Amino acid sequence: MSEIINVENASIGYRGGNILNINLKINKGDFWVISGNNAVGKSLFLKLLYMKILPLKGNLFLFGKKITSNSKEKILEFRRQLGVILQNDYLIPFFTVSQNVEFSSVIQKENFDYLSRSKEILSWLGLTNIKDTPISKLSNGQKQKVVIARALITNPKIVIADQPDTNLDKQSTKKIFFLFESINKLGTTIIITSKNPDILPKTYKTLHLKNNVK
Amino acid sequence: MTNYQNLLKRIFLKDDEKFFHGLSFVILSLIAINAILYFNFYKFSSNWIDQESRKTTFIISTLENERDIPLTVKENIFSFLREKFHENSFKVIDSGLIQESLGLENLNTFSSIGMPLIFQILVEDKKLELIEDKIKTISGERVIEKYAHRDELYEIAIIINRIKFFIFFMFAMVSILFAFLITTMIKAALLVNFKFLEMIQIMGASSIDIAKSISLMIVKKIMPGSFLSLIFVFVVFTTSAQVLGLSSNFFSSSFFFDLNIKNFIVLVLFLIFFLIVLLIYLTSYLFYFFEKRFFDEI
Repeated sequence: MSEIINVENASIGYRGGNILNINLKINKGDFWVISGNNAVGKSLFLKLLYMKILPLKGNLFLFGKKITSNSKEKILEFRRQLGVILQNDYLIPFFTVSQNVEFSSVIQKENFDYLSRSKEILSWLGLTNIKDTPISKLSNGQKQKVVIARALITNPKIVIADQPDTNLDKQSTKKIFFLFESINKLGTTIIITSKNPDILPKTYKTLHLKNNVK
Repeated sequence: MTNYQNLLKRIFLKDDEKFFHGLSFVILSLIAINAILYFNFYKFSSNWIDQESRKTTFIISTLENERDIPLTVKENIFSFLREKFHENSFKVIDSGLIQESLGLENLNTFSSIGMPLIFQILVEDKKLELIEDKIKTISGERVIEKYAHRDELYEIAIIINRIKFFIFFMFAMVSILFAFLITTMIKAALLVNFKFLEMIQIMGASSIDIAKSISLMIVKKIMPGSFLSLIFVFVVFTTSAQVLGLSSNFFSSSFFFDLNIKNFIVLVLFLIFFLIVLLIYLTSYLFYFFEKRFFDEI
């Protein structure tokens, strides 16, 4: 399997706060579940994976090449292949569901059959009948589904999801996780943090984070 | 990048369109007035100083027993001037005019004061000596005084330079204030929409593309006000030039036509230049803003 990201003896954390030391190799087609207590640094670690931060110490390799603060072009190219789902992710409140889902395709892909893909993804997530509703009129659960739809609309090669089950009921959570499993089987690499890891099969690779260095 | 622009246009500063039009109209009118004044004053003062500094005035006094310079001497001098100079390059001050300006209309009846011959010529420095020698020869023993206007223009040139500096200073100040105001507004809008902008950065939007899109969008918002200010300043300046009595033969017979056409071209070029400079400034500022936030500070 080809290596995508290699985190080698990397230290991450806020200056003056907890420091996490991590070694992790992510290959194409992997399904990683990142677990750990509250405030242990799961979201921070995901930030490292979508390269919004760089390690304080140690190395980060992307497709075998070392990433430094001067590798912005490579990072941008990588980010365009990502589908990122963040906690309390931002949606444009006066845009409709479709418009919010559409705009990631504007940024990430130039020649892209948005219409057929959006039909598919909105239908899977049960958003078809509210596709023309402005975000400001949706419940938190519906908003979370829009965030997921926006991340998956461009068929990303890697999905990084920070608690995608936030605000979702059990049935929707199962459905979303099933969707992740399905796209993983089609070759997409998935890295998620979740409060309900027990819903996922135990066969997936797990990284448990704990505070070890102060 | 076009796609970015459409997207950003629907989100970023979307309710401030009319405000931008009004603001750019007022401030760009001020800037354009300063620019057109500077340009015209610069042209006028340079031409005027250049013209005046080449002038030399000769005063030929009468002999003791003469009330006026004899006609033959005058004729000789005039024919020499006509021979050497173009009609527009020398001017003889009429003795009647001198008397009138001194209040000596009845001079001949009560006074023994001799009336001098005064004339101005436009001449290069190197030729002046030759001309002076010739005039001395023609004038005989009469006293000749020569005044180069350049010496007297020194103080005026200093004042003109000060006025030019003041106009330029005002222009620079208003321009800087405008850039500062726009920057502050953009920064406020960036901070309000920061989550959105951070999100598109995570999706892979490059700093230069976002910067170019936003700055182009701002310049497009400024454009209608700018064009309106161009027309406004042109109309105001043309009307003022007429009302203040800049006659059509101020410099040449085609002065007024030239002035209008040139002013319009200057205004258009100036506004294009100003908008390009603003675009470059905004793009640089926004690029720096996004590059600084490419990575989170931890």
